[in-house]
Amino acid sequence: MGTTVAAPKSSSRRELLAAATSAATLFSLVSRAEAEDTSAQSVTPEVRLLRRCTYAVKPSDLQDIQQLGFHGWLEWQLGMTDADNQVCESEVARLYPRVYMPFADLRILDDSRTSDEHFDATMYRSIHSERQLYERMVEFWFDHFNLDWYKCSAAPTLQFVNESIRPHALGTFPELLSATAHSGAMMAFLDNEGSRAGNPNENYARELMELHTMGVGGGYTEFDVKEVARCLTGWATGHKNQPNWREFAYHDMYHEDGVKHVLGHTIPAGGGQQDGEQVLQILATHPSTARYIAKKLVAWFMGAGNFATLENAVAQTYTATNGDIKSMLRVILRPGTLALSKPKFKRPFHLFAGILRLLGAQVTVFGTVRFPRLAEAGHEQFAWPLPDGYPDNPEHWSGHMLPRWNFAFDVMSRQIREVVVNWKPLIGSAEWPHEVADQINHVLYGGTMPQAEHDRLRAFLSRTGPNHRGAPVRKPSDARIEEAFALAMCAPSFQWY
Amino acid sequence: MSGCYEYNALTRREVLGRGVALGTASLLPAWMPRLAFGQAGTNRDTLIMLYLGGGIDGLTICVPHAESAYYDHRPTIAVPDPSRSSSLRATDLDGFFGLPPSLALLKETYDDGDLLFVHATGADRTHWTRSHFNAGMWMETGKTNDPSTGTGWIGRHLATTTAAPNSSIRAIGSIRGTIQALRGGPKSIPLPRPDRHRFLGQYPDKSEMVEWLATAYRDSQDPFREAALNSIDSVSVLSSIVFEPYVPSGGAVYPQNSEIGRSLQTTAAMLKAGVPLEAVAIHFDGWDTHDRQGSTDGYMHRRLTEVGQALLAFYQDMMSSNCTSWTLVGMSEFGRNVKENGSDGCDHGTGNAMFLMGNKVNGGQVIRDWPGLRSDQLFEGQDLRVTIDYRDILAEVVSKRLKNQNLGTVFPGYTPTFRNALAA
Repeated sequence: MGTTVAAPKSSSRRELLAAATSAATLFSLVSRAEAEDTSAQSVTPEVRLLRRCTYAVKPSDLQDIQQLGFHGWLEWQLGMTDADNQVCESEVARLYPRVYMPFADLRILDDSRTSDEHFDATMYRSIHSERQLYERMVEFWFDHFNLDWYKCSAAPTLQFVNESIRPHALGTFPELLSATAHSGAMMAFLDNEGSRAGNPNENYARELMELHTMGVGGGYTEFDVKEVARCLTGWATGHKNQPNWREFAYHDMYHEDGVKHVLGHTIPAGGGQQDGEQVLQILATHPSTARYIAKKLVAWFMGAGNFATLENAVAQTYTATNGDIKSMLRVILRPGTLALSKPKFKRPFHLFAGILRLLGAQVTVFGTVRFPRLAEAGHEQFAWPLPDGYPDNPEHWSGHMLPRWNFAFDVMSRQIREVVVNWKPLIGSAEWPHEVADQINHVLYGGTMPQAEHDRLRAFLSRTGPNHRGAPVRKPSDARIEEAFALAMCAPSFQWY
Repeated sequence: MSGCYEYNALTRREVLGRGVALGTASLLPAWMPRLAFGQAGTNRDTLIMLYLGGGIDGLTICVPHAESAYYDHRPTIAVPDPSRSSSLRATDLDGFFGLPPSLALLKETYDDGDLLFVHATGADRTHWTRSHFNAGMWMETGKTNDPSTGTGWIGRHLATTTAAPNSSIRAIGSIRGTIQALRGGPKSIPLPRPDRHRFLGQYPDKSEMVEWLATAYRDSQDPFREAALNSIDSVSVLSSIVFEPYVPSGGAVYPQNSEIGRSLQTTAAMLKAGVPLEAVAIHFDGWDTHDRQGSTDGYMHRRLTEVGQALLAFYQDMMSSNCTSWTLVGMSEFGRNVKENGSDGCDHGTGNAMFLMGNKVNGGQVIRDWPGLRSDQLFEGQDLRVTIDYRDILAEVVSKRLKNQNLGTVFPGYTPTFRNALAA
């Protein structure tokens, strides 16, 4: 196998890997995976775990899990903090200063640049962060508590990610829920900032139960929606020219006093902001919430299928641990469990970030990756207008193939000015068609490309163009290799993980 | 579609001639059947579904101005009745309902008999919901008692009819993802930008790459094999259509910088060029007006003005091209609360208005069995009651204009009552 461009490694990762004691060889892992056919479920548990927990499996990821083992790799991912990921985070801070800027400074700056830096940092982290599982969970929770930056502005959206989502993405669900409720962005997005005593706005109250906690059919009634809306009156944002402008603020003058009844609980009059806090408490400890969160987490990692037993186990873990997210992930991310999952269809952001990750592309500004390419693929990020988030449902994405293929076509023919791909180090000394095909398989598929696609790719490399069919095998030109890379990223099995 | 063909030459590139110079013909894979335009061979209308997602306020798009209760419930956001002296008032339709200023330009179409409204319509009362996602899913599946069904009503209609010969794409959706109503439909793809639907990248062997891709999917077991092949097919179909510059017929003016304007304009370009589309599903969202909805100005007025202008432009463009074989249905997942809330908007409700546009529509009427807006007449004390099931209207379109009598498959478990909304 040829050499690959090594990503910068954090010191803690090196230390961790040096301490790992697994004795198996990398070769055995790859050869087990080589028989894989995406529909046949024959990847190893290690490869399945890597696919589920990263934006794309690089050869170096295979080396990591080879040394650490399935559980060691998972615990490494669950245990890391930003302090262990300084190479990436210091670059994020240097390249995208607004991401680390205090909100008081950020909120007066132009929205468009803030949105760009936020997106760029998100994609940079997806490509380069050692904390791949964490970034996948940040994406999951953002969708769960979705905002549209076109409605609630870029600065509050970034603050929401920084202060509500990222600190709790691997924490506990009740704390995560509370952090999203105490955010100016959420109050603006779901109109609670305009809710007034005597005539409450039901938007946030309904979605809080339907989408954030209990799920539709979770046992709440229209009466509960109205009562929760009453409890949450006054939960809003700071007024203009106040220090907390655009941030969460509670305004007692908007709050509807009086007794309320929520899901069988009586909330006495005079509670003020505590009414809402009590609602969050009731919802976070409700059995329907445990079931709904379990179901969504299982779907995120397992894809389509009937996993009722697993969902029950995760829901029980939710209840037993007060919604500890890592504990729930440990129930799902087991070798025997993952063996039951079917491949999932990559959403466009996942596909695009994965391509750049695998190619080792030197990219720091993603302007035309996002507009128009990712936007036309339907996954601009932070811009799904409905509160249910970008769908985690393959049928939504499946028919819209052309923008996916076009991204690969554009990347490999240098049509995206920000994206510089140097593929020569990726294929090392390979020069004959079968060698180049093997290297493309190694770099893009971790050696798991299905045989039929691999054969087809080699055949493509063996020809020099449409007018040379049947000609003797010769070394493919650079242009031909670039075409082959693009095709390998458009092939059916590359769309799945 | 038969009447359109005299205009084909204006909008269609010569595939076999200049197409080579334009770099399109070389992209056609050798195995792909050659395009056949102009012989759709069916007597079915093209269905255009305009889905105004978010729960559009039906009491604004078709204003019950003769109901005093309407004004009692909505001190801030009601549209003033036609007797007001201000120009910011409803335009009367039939003495009871009226159009808001944003849609007043459609009055002539209504009077000409090509536009009608249906009021107090919506989903089966036993399955109503005020959840956007469930209500929308059930509307689009057309099957309220089983939301788990994977297919949509248009998809099932297409699956139970035969495509026109050589039809490469039967239905398209306007969003960057699959529209639920189209699920299960053969040769149905998302096509948000027909004018940009082509392979990008710069390669010496691009046509060979596309062929490689088509073969890779054709020979695969991929669950989305059909969708991928339809996407590739559609590239060559659309490469022969001139979307830009586009000159609408009859002096029609589509609203500029408008998503709905562009969607309807590209739809007209395709239909006039003879692409045998059977269904076009357009989503135009943004109607979840909990906050600052406005009345004769403000947010909803501006957005609805775009809709009115786009509908009028499409109607004029198509009609003056003698393209009359289409029926447009306007709908949403639910209506909004009759009473306004404290933030100058209104929350999720139940009954709503729909509209139909087209040459075969029995226009100039508001079809209704009006339940009234007094508090004691409202559903759960707050919403417009549903008195006409939305499937009555859709089923009549499917039966009379799409010529499909498999209504039991398209709308399972429901026996529709036709409302004389359309000519057969």
